[in-house]
Amino acid sequence: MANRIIMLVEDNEDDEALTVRALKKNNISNAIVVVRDGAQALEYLFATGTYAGRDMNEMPQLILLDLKLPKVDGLEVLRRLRADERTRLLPVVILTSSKEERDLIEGYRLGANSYIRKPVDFVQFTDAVNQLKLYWLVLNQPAPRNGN
Amino acid sequence: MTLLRGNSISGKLKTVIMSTSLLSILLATAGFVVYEYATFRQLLVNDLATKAEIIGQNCAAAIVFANAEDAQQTLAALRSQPHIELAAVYNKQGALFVTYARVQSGPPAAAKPEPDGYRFEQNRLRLFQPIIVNNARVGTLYVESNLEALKDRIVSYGSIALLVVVTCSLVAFLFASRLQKRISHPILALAETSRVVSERQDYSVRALKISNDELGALADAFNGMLSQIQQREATLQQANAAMAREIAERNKAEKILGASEERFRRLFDSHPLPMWVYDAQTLHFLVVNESAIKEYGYSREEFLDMRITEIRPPDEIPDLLASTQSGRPPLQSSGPWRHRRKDGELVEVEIVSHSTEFEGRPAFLVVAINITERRKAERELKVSEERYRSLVSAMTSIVWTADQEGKFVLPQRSWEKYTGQRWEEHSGLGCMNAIHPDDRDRVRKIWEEASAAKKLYESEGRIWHAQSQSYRHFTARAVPLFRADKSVREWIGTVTDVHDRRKAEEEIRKLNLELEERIQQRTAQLEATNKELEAFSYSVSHDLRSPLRSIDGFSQALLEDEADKVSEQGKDYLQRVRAAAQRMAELIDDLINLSRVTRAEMRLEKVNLSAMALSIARELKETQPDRKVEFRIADGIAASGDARLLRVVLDNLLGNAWKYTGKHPKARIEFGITGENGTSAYFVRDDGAGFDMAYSDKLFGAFQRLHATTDYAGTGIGLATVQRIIRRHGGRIWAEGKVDEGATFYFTLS
Repeated sequence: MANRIIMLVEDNEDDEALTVRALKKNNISNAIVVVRDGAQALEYLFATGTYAGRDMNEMPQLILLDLKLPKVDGLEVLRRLRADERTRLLPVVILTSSKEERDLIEGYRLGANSYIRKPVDFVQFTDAVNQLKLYWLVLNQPAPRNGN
Repeated sequence: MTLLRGNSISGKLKTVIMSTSLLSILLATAGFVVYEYATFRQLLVNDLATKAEIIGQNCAAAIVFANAEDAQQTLAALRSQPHIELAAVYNKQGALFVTYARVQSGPPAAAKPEPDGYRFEQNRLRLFQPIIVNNARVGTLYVESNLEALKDRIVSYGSIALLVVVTCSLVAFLFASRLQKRISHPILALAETSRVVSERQDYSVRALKISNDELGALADAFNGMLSQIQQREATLQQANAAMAREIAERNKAEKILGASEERFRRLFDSHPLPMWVYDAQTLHFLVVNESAIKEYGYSREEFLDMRITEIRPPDEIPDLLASTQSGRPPLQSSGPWRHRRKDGELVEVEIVSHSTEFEGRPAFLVVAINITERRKAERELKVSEERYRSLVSAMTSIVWTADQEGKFVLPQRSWEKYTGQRWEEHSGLGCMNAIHPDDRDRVRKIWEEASAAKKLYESEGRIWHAQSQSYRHFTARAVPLFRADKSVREWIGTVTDVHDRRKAEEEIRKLNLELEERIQQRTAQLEATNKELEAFSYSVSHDLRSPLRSIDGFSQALLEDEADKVSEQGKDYLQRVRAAAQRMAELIDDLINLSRVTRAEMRLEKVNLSAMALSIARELKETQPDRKVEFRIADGIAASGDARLLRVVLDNLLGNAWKYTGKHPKARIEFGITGENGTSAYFVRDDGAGFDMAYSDKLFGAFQRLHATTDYAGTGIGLATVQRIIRRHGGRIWAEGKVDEGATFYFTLS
């Protein structure tokens, strides 16, 4: 279980590096898959396009989803995930710098499990990631995997 | 004599007889009494003188011999004479010799003798008599006798006389009673007869003749007179009856005449029209009625002093005189004339006059009818008609009249003028041809419906306008005029050219439409701008923060991961880099908030500000639990506004209060409401750092700060945001403060 992957959907490399660092700082050793846009994320999750042939049984334990993404934006990705049986129950944490209320509301409405605003203060961000880890990776009992 | 006046004749006779006889008896009796009195007095004197003679002689010797005792004895003999009261003897020298007194208590005899002779004094008869002896006087005897005897005598005489008088009177009365009847009876009978005649007016009664003397003759004469009267009376009665009949007839005639005259007089007097009679020759008013007095203002007396020419204006007098000349018909109407009232006002009148006769003189009866008002009304009507006519011809609208079926039966001048249709063309229903062919059927239908229903006709359409050679828009209205039996007499209607108005309305409509389009465009533009702005702020909040996050994140990474390779100064620099990045992030957030406040849609609802303030206070306390801050939040403060925005307001104001009291060991923060100019102002007060009022105008400007960031953190956007929210609520915000003594922020909401 500890070896299950965390998926990070993030177009900004800086943010990616900082997020990865924050995860590491919190001793999260899970493999991290990073995709740069919504389309890639969907391809990965549904094993299509670039990721065709990927084992569909290997689903991420947690998806960290940015909202502002090229091609397909985060909310759309979320909507598609929740619309599909196979990905409907995947824990998705929206991780964004947007403070817009409508994004927050829309995110929860589409079935996001959590919503974290990326603070500028890295220390705060690290704390937030720690909270994430505690809840989603340690405490949370994930839903049984499809087909298992 | 008064006795005689009121009495009956028998009483009078009796009185005469009685008084005559009584007087005779009394006179006779009185004579006897007087004579008897005189005689008896002389008798008394003589008797006393005789007695004195005797006593004197008897005393003479005693005197001569001065023998008082003998003298005394002699005098004592007088005791047998009871009427002798006193006696005395005086001697020759005149000295009292002896005295005798029948009663000792009486007055004594005088000391000296008085002259000789008798005298009556004080009911006494006193006598001094000389005592003569041998022709020589030897002394004087005095004797005093009372007059009892005289009195007795008079009384007895009086009694007898009275008896005689009474007896005689009785007898006389009896005789008188008997005798007077012989005279009074015939007179009384006559008197009774005359009383009966006068009382009963019965002249057939006759007096009874009782005697043949003068009274008998009187009765005869009386009877004769009665007979004559009776005869005359009969004649008179006949004459009276005839006269009464005549009078009755005359009365009746007079009454009839009087009633008729009265009726006519009243008719004349109360006639509602002024009337008078004037003398045909002198032209003087002879009689005027009440209406004339009222109408002309002259009193009746003034009228009767005037001639009819005096109530005319001078210029009409010649005509008047001509018309009053003879030869005019007995009844004629003339006028209009002008009459002058007493107040000088001229009234127009119409005259009806009738030649008549008044008190035997030729006269005219005149009725004057005031036609001033009528003439005025006529003139006004004429003016009004002219005005109406000129109005109709001046109007651009068409005014028309039609018969009950809506057909033109008379030439319609305004219709002709407007449409150019000649009378042959527009008569009947020909007028319909002036209406635009497209509107014709519709207008005709409306007209037929209205005319059938006899109700207001209203239509619109286009009509041919001759002058501009074009069809123009019109509105038409017409109303039926009814006869008394509710049938339509005619229709009167108007056709109004509303072409220009229509055009103007169309223009307005077009302009409105354009305006609306423009507004829509503008709105769309605004909406687009708004959207752009939203997108901008969205990307600002998203994209501007990302580099900051990188700056901060990697600075931190350096500090942590390369700590051994960075000097202390380098670490300090990195910390500053981080702080600046974070501050910039705050600025961005605040700016986003500020713009959001302006853009956000307002949702008005009732907001419990007290509860909101309490919750903010709780949160603030949680951020710094060690601080000793007392919150005083008034209960039950509510306002109408957007809850989210008001939350921003209170967050900022209470947050500021919290921030600026941070350097005081103990602080108090209040939230409440205060009355100000009739509207309620909410306030947040603290006792913190305060501010200088000189800079109070900078408080609400964006990025304006009164404190150094090093003293109090902040971006200087909070109060600008607050002010925007308050303004969006139609309210006002202001602040009062003093350095180190705290600040109070007031705000109102509409």
